[in-house]
Amino acid sequence: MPLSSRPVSRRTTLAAAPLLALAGCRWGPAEDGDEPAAEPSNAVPDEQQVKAALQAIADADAFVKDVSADHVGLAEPLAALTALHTAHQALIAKEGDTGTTVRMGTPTRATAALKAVRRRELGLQRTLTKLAGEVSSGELARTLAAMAAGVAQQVALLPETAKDADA
Amino acid sequence: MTGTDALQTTLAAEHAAVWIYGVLGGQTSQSSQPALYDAVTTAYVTHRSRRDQLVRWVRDADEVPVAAEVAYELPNAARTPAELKAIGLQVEQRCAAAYADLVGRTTEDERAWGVNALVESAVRQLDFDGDPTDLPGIDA
Repeated sequence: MPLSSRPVSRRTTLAAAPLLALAGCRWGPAEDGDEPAAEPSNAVPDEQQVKAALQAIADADAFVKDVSADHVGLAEPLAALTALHTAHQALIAKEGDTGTTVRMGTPTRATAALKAVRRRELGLQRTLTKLAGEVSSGELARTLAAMAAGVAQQVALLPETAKDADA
Repeated sequence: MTGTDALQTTLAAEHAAVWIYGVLGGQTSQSSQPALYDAVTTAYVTHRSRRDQLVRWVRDADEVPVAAEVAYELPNAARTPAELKAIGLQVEQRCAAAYADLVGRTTEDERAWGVNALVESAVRQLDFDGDPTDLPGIDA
């Protein structure tokens, strides 16, 4: 399949803050409501890192959708991944954010396609982890780290083979 | 809250995790519950190592590491596999919240450590029958 590109529109942003309240616990983080350290007033607002995160999510998501379309039996086990990508995009995207994804062909065999999805998602996890270390905003770092953790959970739950996916 | 405060808070969570996993280890059978035994043993070793790293960082900051409590309250009787998993899941969720908070309040090595700890803890929650979430450490 030749490489092609298409614009990907994204939904309006949600401010992350409402989702970021910590669950209460007696020996967990402080519950005094104070926010992670605010960045200095002259801080760069991490735009490059947010763009890079959105691009990485869009690329991974496009691949998962292609695999789901090409291998119908994988659509159901991969549905949680696409839902996760959508949720993550909504968390950090601003209204009107668009991107372009490079479309790659998917493997012919379903098990190989599943392995390719796993590799792509692990790549996304690494990208989010790296970006979490780079951003100046503590709140954004926390969000990106949690996004990486969410991807890691879904990767751990992926079936090993197409046969497992059918089971 | 400063970065060192966040280290201390995370250390307090690790103290609890080490103590609780020690209890769970004594309640888990290697022969009849091998998967659960492995999960608990791995978690115990991991959290002990994380506790020790946090102690070093707090000392490096010229502060006194927060001490462990004498004991920690368990949420159930810790008798059945389901009860043991529920406790393990709660421990990981609380530690994940602490790691996420640490990530937001630190930079460089400490932040990177927090991100890795959060990712590991999120995956370990699945060993204890936890459900995946969009933002582990934040939404669960």
